[in-house]
Amino acid sequence: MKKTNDPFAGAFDNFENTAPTERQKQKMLSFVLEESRRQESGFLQKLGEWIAVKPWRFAFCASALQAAAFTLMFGTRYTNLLMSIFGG
Amino acid sequence: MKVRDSAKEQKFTDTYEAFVDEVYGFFYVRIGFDTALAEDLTQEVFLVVFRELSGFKGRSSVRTWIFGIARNKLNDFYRDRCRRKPEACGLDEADALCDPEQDACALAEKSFESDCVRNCLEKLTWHYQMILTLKYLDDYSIKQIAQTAGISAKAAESLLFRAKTAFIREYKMEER
Repeated sequence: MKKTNDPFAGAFDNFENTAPTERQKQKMLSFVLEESRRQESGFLQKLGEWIAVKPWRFAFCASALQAAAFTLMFGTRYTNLLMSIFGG
Repeated sequence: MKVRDSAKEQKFTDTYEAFVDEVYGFFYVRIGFDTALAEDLTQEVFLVVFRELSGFKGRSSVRTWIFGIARNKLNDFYRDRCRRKPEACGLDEADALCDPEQDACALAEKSFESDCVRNCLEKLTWHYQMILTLKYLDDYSIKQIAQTAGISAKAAESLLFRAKTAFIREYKMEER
């Protein structure tokens, strides 16, 4: 709410109706759409970015997944193979 | 995928058409009537809108949401400007300080003309423009201004005082 006893209060009232020209609007819209299309990338690109940002998380995820998958496929043979590799 | 993208773009374009005038006007008067800067900030706001539009849950109106983004962008801009360009107040300017309220009352009786006000604002330094628009366009309190600009409340108060004095001086010159 404006302060009524402040002589400055009314001075800034008529500024709100400042609109851009059609050309400006079109220019801004084209820029925003172009920039958004550039930023919106495919799944592989997103995955690549995620790996670059969080490499350790990717490594742990990949390791857990392969361990689960290969154990399901080969059972104890896979565990024994790993143990022999690591000298167990 | 293409159909979904074009639907998203259509939805965005409708939103853009509905609010671009207001958002641009919001920035234009608050950053010293600089067309290029107002365009840049408007673009930044609509980039965020485009990115977040599909996730917008509708907890508030679209207008409130967009102006929330715009307000945050403007506050970031003010803070950045204040940090990079500290205000300089010359000795002669400090000497010329008088009571701006008294002069303003006399001028307000004749009512401020908006063209004149705009010309005066454009002649003021950036800090003065910022504090006057925050105070009289957005009705910010001294505390809110201080938070926005990243300065102390005392500094904000004295900046406002100097801004008013400078504004009155310019207005008087403009009237002649």
